[in-house]
Amino acid sequence: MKASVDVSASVIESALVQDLQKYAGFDAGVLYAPRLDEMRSFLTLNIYPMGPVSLTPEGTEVGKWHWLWERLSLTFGYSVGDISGGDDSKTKIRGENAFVYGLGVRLNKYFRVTMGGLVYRTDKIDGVAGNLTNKLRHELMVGPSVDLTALPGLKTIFASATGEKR
Amino acid sequence: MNRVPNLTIRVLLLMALSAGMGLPLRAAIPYSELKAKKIKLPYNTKVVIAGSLAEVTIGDSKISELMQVQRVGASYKSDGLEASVPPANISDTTWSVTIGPFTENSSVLIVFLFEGKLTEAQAMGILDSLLPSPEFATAVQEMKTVVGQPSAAQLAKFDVFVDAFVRLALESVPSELTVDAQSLRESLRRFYPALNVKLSLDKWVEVANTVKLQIDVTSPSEIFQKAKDLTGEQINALFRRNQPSERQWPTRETGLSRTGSSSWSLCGYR
Repeated sequence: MKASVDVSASVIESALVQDLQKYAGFDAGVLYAPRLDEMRSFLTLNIYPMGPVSLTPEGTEVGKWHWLWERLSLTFGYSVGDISGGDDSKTKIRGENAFVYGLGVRLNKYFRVTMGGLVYRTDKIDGVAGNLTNKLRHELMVGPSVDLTALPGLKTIFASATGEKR
Repeated sequence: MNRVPNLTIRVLLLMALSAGMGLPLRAAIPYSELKAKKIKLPYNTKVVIAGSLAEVTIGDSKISELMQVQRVGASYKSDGLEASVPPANISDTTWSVTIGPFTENSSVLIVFLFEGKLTEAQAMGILDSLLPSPEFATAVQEMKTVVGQPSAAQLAKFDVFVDAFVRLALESVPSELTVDAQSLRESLRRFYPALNVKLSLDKWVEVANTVKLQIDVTSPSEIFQKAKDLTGEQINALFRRNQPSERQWPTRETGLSRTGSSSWSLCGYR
């Protein structure tokens, strides 16, 4: 028979839980195409190429590449129409339809700057068809946007269900 | 002939692999990475934290140096959620605790609870500080006063002795550890009614040798009988040099070797 001492010890640890992991974001914004001299609204889908990222971009704690991958996205979208008050008959974009592509860089949880191209089919100028009418053209564009899927009610869209890395 | 089936199999394998890669990984979170703050916990899912006892430290000591861990549990608090995991037995030196799920972008405070027995080295350390204590000596003397009296009186004194023992033990245990005083008290009390218990505490024997005494009893009544045989002078001699100012046991002075207890028995009752 032996007396023994029951003892216990507590070890306290703290931890952070991952931020919501997003595979993509849906943005609405304004782009500027210098050569077209137009400011246009656009809607884009921004896909994070290196896997899900945190809803709020993380800093450099994990690494510089991680910092970059947290912010960089491939952007594909559609330009809805001119918002700068330009004359509709002067626009080169046929039917206001333009495809947008490029690279997006998140500035913070909500805002992003996108740079890339605007692909559109040329329209008649002042109702007159020319050699360049109905041709597929490409222009550079840049513009800020807001990630709608970062808004509280929409943040689970394109988000990983459990936060476990795949 | 073979090309089409091969191609089909390859495509199917590729699809299966792709599907497999899509399954969520439910690997355990290593405790070492949690401790080093190298990892964030996943949200909306149960989290398994696994580790080895060697990784767990309390202050500057490894937990395995202080106690023999037998069960591990946890309690945690996060974003209004407060829950606990009852301690479960562990095998070997690895352990795991499942917690969660948590909401995203929150912080979690986890209190891991390790339960077990005091290590022999720690127990000996307690004994080292216990035996020289005047309070302990007084408790022993008190026991002597009830020798030959009815067992109820002996039991009452034994309770006083146990209480003194427990109190001193609690003071001697490293501050990082919490002692289950009730369990210790009950554990000690079990010795009183037990028959054929043997007093073989090396420390006691060591002290007894110092004052030319032999303590070797086989029943509670004999414990009291032996205690009765001790004269006041012998008792005083037993504890004279063990005043608080001289907490170290004087084995080196007397040339006696420290035998060390093969198994730690508080009070030496086995």
